[in-house]
Amino acid sequence: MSSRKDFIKQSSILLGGAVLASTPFYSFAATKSTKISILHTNDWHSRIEPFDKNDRNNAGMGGAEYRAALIKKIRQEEEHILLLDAGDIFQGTPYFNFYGGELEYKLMTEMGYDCVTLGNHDFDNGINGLVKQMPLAGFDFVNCNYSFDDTELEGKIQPYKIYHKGPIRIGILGVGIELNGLVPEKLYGNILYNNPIENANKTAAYLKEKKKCDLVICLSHLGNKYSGDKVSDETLAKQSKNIDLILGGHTHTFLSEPIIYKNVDNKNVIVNQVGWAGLKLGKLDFIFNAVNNQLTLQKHQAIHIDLFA
Amino acid sequence: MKKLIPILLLFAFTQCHTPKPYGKAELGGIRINKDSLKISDEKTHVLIQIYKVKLDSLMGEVLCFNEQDLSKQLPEGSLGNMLCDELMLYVKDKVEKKIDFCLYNHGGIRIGSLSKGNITVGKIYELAPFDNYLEVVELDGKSCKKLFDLIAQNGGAPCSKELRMKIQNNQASDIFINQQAFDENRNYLILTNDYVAAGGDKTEPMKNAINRYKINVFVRDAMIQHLRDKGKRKEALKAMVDGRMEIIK
Repeated sequence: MSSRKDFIKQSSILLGGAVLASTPFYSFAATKSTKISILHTNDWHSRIEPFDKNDRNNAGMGGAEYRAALIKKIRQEEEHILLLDAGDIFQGTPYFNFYGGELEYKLMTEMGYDCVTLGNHDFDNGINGLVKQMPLAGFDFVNCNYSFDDTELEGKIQPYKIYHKGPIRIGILGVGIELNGLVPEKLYGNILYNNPIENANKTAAYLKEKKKCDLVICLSHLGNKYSGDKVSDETLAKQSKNIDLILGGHTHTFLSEPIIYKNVDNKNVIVNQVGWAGLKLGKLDFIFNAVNNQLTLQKHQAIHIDLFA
Repeated sequence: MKKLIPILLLFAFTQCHTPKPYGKAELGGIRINKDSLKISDEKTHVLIQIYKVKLDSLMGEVLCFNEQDLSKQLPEGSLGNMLCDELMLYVKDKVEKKIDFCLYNHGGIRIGSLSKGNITVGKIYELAPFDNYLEVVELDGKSCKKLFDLIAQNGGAPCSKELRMKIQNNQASDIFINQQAFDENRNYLILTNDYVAAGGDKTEPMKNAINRYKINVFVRDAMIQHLRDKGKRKEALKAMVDGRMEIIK
């Protein structure tokens, strides 16, 4: 495959510190370092099958089967993996209309997803339609800015979850977009929307300070950025504290590389998003140095699933 | 650092600053294909097949032939024109009152293009996947004008051929409905979906509706039925951009 394009960027980004120059991975071999790969998708919108051959833009691209194979391959190569999704798993092909998200959750469970947050379209069959499929999901749901009190979702969605990968402790929280005006009221029922920035900061502080997480990830369905003052991953990143990485969705933004913002403490926050429809799998490799407890983004890729390439 | 420069340049050319929800996926990162994977996921394949076989039998039905490639665009796109014009034809003999025009939300069209060729039931599901009902909204002229101005600010919206307007300085002008100059002092009957009828997707003036008449059919099912009938009559689907909504610089 001589035409294969390999745009792996080698510069590394130190979390909570300066952006470092290019450093190859092997230089870490001597220190007590651990690598963790964060794999992520967003807005895959029930795209079970690859786009059909007549599709003008994405013919032959995507497809859950090939994503599963790709993830399986990565699992053979990497020791520590977290597989995450930033919402809008549901809606977009007849698979959702007919099976209500059943196959989407089964496939994600098979692929070994660890944690997801909710997008607006995940409510398209109502709270009831979501709750009905949740027993099929072998992964966690996080959101810290919706109140689920007095709804069927009460107790089924946690503000955060903590994962351990080797010596690394990772805290994951989720934030969701304002549902009013976006989702018919009868579908989201009594779910209350609360300020995502306040709640994300509160949850992140707890994860970083009380729970001593080395890496705090926010799964966000707020959208990458807007021209107005609407809250987005950009505004969240800039006003955040204790969040290292924001994996976003909603705006279907194809970022060719992650965006680095400075938070209120002038520390780096990485924001990424990989478009939609399961066309790409994001892969962010972090190196954890146990000597100084520093995490560094070593390499990032957006792996494009293209059967005709 | 020298080695990095060409890579960064490539990023500069491929980077997309404005989100393109339905645009072509960019070439950043690496591509992976069936051959380079060298691994298959049999379990996933089998799982999908179980669902796919049943679904294909329902979704594979050919409704009619589409004569040209259609695309979703603003201020006006052939795909949006097609949808709104065909919905007008669908309701024509189904409602007693004369509908003035059809208006749809750009975001409600969920595919970027519809290729020339046979249109299947599955394609219509992708075009309009939501369970949105068709609805007719009776709106006073002043609210209509507010709605048109809002559409102008947002760069246009899909509409049927009965409505023609120009967008100038983010305002609607030269508005004609059924070849008659738009009259702020009368009411209009607008065909749309229930999401827009409720003022969703930047259509707040719809909340001033005088009357709302729900048509008990999903947009998707209406289109399927309508295109199936068209196919039975051996008619092909025709649509194009005709300047019904135009931005004047």
